[in-house]
Amino acid sequence: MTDQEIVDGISRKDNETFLYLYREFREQILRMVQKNNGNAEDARDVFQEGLVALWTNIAKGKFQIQAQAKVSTYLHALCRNIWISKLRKRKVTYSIEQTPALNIAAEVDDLTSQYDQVKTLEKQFEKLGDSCKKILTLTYFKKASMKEIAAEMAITEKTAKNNKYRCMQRLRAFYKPAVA
Amino acid sequence: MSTELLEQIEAYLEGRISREELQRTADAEGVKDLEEELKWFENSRTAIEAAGLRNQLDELLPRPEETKAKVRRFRPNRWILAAAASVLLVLAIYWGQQSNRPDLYSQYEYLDPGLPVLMSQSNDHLLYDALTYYGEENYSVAAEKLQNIREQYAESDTLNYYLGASLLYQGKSEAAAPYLLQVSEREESRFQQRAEWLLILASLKEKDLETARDRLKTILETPGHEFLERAQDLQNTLQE
Repeated sequence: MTDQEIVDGISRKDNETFLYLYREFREQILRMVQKNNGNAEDARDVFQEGLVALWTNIAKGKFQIQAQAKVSTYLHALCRNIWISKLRKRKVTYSIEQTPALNIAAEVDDLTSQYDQVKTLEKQFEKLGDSCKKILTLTYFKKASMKEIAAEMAITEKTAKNNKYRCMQRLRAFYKPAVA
Repeated sequence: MSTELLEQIEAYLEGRISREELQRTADAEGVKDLEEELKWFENSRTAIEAAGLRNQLDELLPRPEETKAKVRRFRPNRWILAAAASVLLVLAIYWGQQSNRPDLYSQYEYLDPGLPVLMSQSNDHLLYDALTYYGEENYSVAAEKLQNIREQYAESDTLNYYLGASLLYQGKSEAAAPYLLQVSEREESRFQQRAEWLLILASLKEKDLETARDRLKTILETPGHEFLERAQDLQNTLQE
C-alpha cells in the first residue's frame, strides 16, 4: 500500500488497512515491547493505541504525509512513545532506542500530545452512562441519522435529539474541572 | 452550556449557520471564550469517535494465542509418583548442565542498526523502502522486500548485506549465509568486516562451532578489524 492509501484507509477507519498495518508491523512492535518488559498482549495494546493516535491526528488535520519519512515510521514512533508512557506509569526502567528518523522526533512528540488531549476527553466520555455513550457513539462514530438513532433506541426523533445534547452537556460538565 | 448553544456550535461547525449568529447566542449566554468551547466540542467529537475506533480495533486485531491448560482429574499412585520424580530429577540435571553452557549467539550478538537514509536523499526508492523496514527492526518485511528487488540490485553490497542480516536476525542463519559470504569476499566493501562477524554469528546460531572457529581466523589475522576484540574474546570462550 502507498502512504496515501494508508492515510486514506485509516481516515475512513477501514479494517483492511488496519489488518494490513498489523501484518506488516506487528513483529517490530512486539520486538520493541518484549525487549522492554512487555508481552504479546502489551504489544497488541500498544499497536492498537498507535493506530488510534494516528487516526486522531489525521482526523484533527494535524498529520500530513511528509517527504522525509514514511507513515509507518510515524506509526512506529507513536507506538514507541505510547509504550514509554505505559512503562513510566508502571515505574519500570527501560532502554528503548530512538526512532530511526530522528528528524521527526519533535513532530511525533506533538502528535503524541494531541492524542493525549483526546485520550483525556475519551476517559471522560467513558464515565457517561450506557445510554449516553450509545447515543453519542451512534451520532458521531456511526454517523447515524436522528431517524436511525430513534429507531435503534426505540424513542422518538425529538427525544433522541434532546438526549444527544443532554449527554453532550454532561460531557461538558466533566470537562469543567480540567479547564479551571 | 445550554442545549441551544451546543446545537448552534454543531450547526456552525457543519457550516449551517454563520459565526455572527453563533456569537450572538454565546454572548446571550455569557460565554467568555467561544473559541475554547468550539475546541472542546471538536475534540470531544474526536474523542467519541476514538472510543468507537478503539472498540472496532479491539474486535478486529487478533489476540495473542492463549495456552489454556487442560485440567483432568487424576489420582496418582506411588509408582507413578516415583517415576515422575525420577523424570524431574533427570530433567533438573539436564537443565543444570544446559544453564551452565552459555548461549554464544546471544552473548556475541551484533545488531546492526541500519543506515540513516532519508527518502529525499535517496534515488533508490525501493531499496530505501526496504531499509526503512530494516531500521525499524521489521526484519521479515525487510527481507521480503530486499528479495523482491534483488535482481535489480544483484551486485549491491548494501542489499546483500542487509538481506543477510535480516534473515539472520529472524533466526534463518542458513539462508543468511550465502548473502553474507558474498559481501565478506569483497574487500572494497564497507560492509565486509561486519559481514564476516555476522557469518560467525550464523555459525554460532547453528551450533556449528567448528565453522565458527574457522571463520574467526580471518578476523584474528586482520589488524584493526572492527570486530577484532570481540573475536579474541570469543576465541578465548571457545577454548575454555
